[in-house]
Amino acid sequence: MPKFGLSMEKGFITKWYKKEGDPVKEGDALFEAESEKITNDVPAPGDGFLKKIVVQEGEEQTVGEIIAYIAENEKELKAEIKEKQVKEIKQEPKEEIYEEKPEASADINKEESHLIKASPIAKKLAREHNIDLSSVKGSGPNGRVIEKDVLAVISGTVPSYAQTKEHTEELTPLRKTIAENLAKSYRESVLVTNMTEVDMSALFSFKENYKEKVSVTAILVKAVAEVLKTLPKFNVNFDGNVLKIFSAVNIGVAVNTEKGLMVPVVKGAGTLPLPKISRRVKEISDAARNGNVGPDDLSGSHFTITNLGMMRTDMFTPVLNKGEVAILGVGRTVKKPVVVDGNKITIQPMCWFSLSYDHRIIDGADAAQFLGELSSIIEDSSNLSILFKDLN
Amino acid sequence: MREITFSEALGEAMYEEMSKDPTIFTYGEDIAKQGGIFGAYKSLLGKFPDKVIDTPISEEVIFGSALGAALAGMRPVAEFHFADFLFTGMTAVANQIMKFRYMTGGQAKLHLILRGPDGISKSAAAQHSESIETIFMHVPGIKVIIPSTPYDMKGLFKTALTSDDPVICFEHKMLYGIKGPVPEEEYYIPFGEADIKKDGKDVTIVSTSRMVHESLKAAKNLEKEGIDAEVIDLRTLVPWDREKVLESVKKTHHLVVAHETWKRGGWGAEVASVVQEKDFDYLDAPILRVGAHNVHIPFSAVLQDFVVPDHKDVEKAVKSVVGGV
Amino acid sequence: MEYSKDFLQNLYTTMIRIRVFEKKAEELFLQGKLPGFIHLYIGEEAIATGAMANLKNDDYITSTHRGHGHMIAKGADINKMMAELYGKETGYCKGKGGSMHIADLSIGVLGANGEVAGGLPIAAGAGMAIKLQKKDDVVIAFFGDGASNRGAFHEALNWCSIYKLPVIFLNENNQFASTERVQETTSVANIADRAIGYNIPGVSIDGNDVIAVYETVKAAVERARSGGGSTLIEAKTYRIKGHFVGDPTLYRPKQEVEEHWANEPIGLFENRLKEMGMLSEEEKKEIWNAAHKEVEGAVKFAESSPYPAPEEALTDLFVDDAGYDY
Repeated sequence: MPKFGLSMEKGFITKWYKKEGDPVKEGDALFEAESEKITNDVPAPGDGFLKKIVVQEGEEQTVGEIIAYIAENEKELKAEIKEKQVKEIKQEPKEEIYEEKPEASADINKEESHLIKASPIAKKLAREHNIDLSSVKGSGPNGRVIEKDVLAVISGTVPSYAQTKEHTEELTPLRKTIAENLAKSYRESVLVTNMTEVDMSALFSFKENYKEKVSVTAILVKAVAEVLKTLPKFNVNFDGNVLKIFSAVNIGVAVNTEKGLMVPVVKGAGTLPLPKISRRVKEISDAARNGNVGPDDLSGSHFTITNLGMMRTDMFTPVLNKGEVAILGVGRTVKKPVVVDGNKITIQPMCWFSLSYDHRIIDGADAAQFLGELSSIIEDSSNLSILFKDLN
Repeated sequence: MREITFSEALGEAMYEEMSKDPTIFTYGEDIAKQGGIFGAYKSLLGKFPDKVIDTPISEEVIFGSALGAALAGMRPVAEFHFADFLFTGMTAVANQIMKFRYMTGGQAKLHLILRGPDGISKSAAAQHSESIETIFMHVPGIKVIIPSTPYDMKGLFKTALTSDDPVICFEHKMLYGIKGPVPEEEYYIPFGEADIKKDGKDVTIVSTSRMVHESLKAAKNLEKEGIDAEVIDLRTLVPWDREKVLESVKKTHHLVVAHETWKRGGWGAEVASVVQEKDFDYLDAPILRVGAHNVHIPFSAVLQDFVVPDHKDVEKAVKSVVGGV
Repeated sequence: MEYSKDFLQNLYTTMIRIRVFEKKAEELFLQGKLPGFIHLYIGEEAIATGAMANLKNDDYITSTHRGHGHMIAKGADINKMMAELYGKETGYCKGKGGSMHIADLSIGVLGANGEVAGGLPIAAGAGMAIKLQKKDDVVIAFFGDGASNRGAFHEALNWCSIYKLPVIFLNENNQFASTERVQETTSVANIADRAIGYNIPGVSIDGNDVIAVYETVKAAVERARSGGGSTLIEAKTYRIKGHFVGDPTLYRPKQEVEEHWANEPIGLFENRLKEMGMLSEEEKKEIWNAAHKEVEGAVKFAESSPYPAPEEALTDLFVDDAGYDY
């Protein structure tokens, strides 16, 4: 199992492109593997024949361990694999579970009969086909599982509850990582969110009049990068013990992809000009969505922006990205009557900014200051043009 | 094949065996001059005048004397007139006939037959309508045959007439007149061999006598609803063909037992019991029994129809069983 | 013995009522209106009539499968009888019993019986109860010639003899046990002779002579009421009709029946009454007309009555009713 990126420990085979016995050429995509963060096609390391697949689709393997054997020629294809290697093949988890403890399975059945209503033949069939009766929907009286229910599962016409449940809930390595990271973050941080409503009219007119086409997200990345430069305690990583304060401003941009949430990073946002930031944001977002984002683009952020402005959310409490101490959540922009210039009411495009932060590191006043400085940039067209012009 | 009635089949069996075996003789009430109250012996009228005998209404002696005659070398066939009246001579049957060979250490061959009508007819009321075959399955000591067709009647009865153990034969009143194919040549049907009257794969219906016909009717109606029922006619209750029933249940995974006798403690309970003992793992639903309500057979037709099961009850039971109950 | 006109005409009337009822029942059965079996009492009316003229309401009888005459003579409601024959809800047994199982405990009828000799042990038991309760009631146990060959008959006679019970065994020897002639199935010429074996009086009489029946039973009843114990009376008669309506009667020639028809009890008694000047043609007509009217009324009642609800089949098994069908 090859290693993708720095932190990968295990890989998950999502697809085999070749069958055992197929000829392979160096560089041919052999299988698709998923790490915690990304999915990659793995090319064949040399010419020959795919002799034996050790790790099947849906199975996991530790980095550096054997996934398959490739025979150099047909003669070798038929030869036996050396004993030691065979041993490794035998350690397939499925077989272990199946053969492990016949006595224990009797106990399971006993318990089953107390808990699950199933006809005798349904129980027998389930035993024979290794089906967990608790996962089969019973169509008999009082939900009793009867023969046809089990037969339907066996024939595949009806998924068992287990398949329904576990299939959709079986986490991809990515999702698992997301879940673990978020849970860890949520569990360990003292999460507080400050919110403020921001008038977006200046930003929009700035965007309209800008020489190049840039995205709102890019402008926000740029604006946040400016704030982070003045408030370095937000531009950090914290592992619970050690606080790392960075000079470079790396801002993660949360991207929703088919496989789950990804946070590619705009590195050096503090020094990049706006058009470059905009291109960079687009580049990494597209890469994340298309599944070909590199591991290095997914690590190293110090602060994250998550923008739900395209959807219906006004304010929310984002959870911190792993290792960070603050995250900015951007809601949708809505036109509202607003009092301006002392006592004049006008209609302005308003947007809630939600700043979640780890209260262990950031105080409420710091957060308020952050939001204040950010707002003052965004709401003031002269600030915007000055700040961004200088850097052009 | 030629078709004859159920009672003609009985008469033929008697005639053929009596022609061969001079020890066979038969007696009871109303059989010699009138051929039996339901015409069961019509085909014997005028034949074997000294071997077809009208007797007084003396059941204890009718039954008990069969034991004595068998012990003394004859092959008596005693008629019980109505199954209900077995009770009037029951001690001779249950205390004498059924125990004698066993009590005496297997000394005797009790080649005797008790036979007669049972079951409902049209409003014969409580003392002329009973089906009490289960009692003779419960108390050990007599073989029980309970045919449903002319073919089975003749074949089973010929076997009974050549058997060396006591046999009781229940002939349903509503069946005497039915016609069915019976070959000209002689044949014998061994006891304990059930007959699959209709093949099926979804549910097994085990029945006997009149209820075989009701079950077949039910199976036909169920076919329209996509349920393929197998109808097994046990034909004999002692012994009964457990293998065939178990085999069928292994195939269908559903069982309904249908009999005219009372549901409570009826022989269906025994069949159900054995099936769950042996085939438990193959059952997909509880076994259901179809039987009479646990009251006597009432006179009025509306009441009798309510009490006694028919094909509709079988259909209902089958549908419940197939649906898991 | 001298009898009043009223008394004699009452006997005649009862016999006519039975006859008309039975003729109607036969007609209805043949029309397919009555289900089950019907056993007719035609030709035997004198026995029930003569015997019952000695009984009070509280006295008991046990009847037979051929019991319509016994019921009517004991004072039964013929509407309820007819309704039962139809299997209607308003019948004596709510449609559960039919002809063969009619009973009316309020007039002391302890049931017709589908089993030959089935009533005799019951009569013995009623006799024991009367004796234990020190009443002067009596029981008349009706039974046929066929019944006298059953163990129950012999056991009951011995029983009532040793306990001196007020039970009169009234044998209706109609010459046939179903299809079998009495002389072919019975060891004695007179069933009454069997009393000797049980040490009770036994007497054979002409069962078609209503007065003879009345007088013989009267003596037996008086003996029984006064603690003298049982009597066996054999009333010889002839079963004009088949064993049941529809019986092909292969066992007897038609001519034999015709000969006995000349000797049927109603004609005999009618002639006698006319000779005695106790029955005018007009009175006779009136009695017959009244009987027809009564029976037609019963038919109307029965036909207009509803059938029982099917679920009614589950009632009446036990006193606490229903709930036992599982």
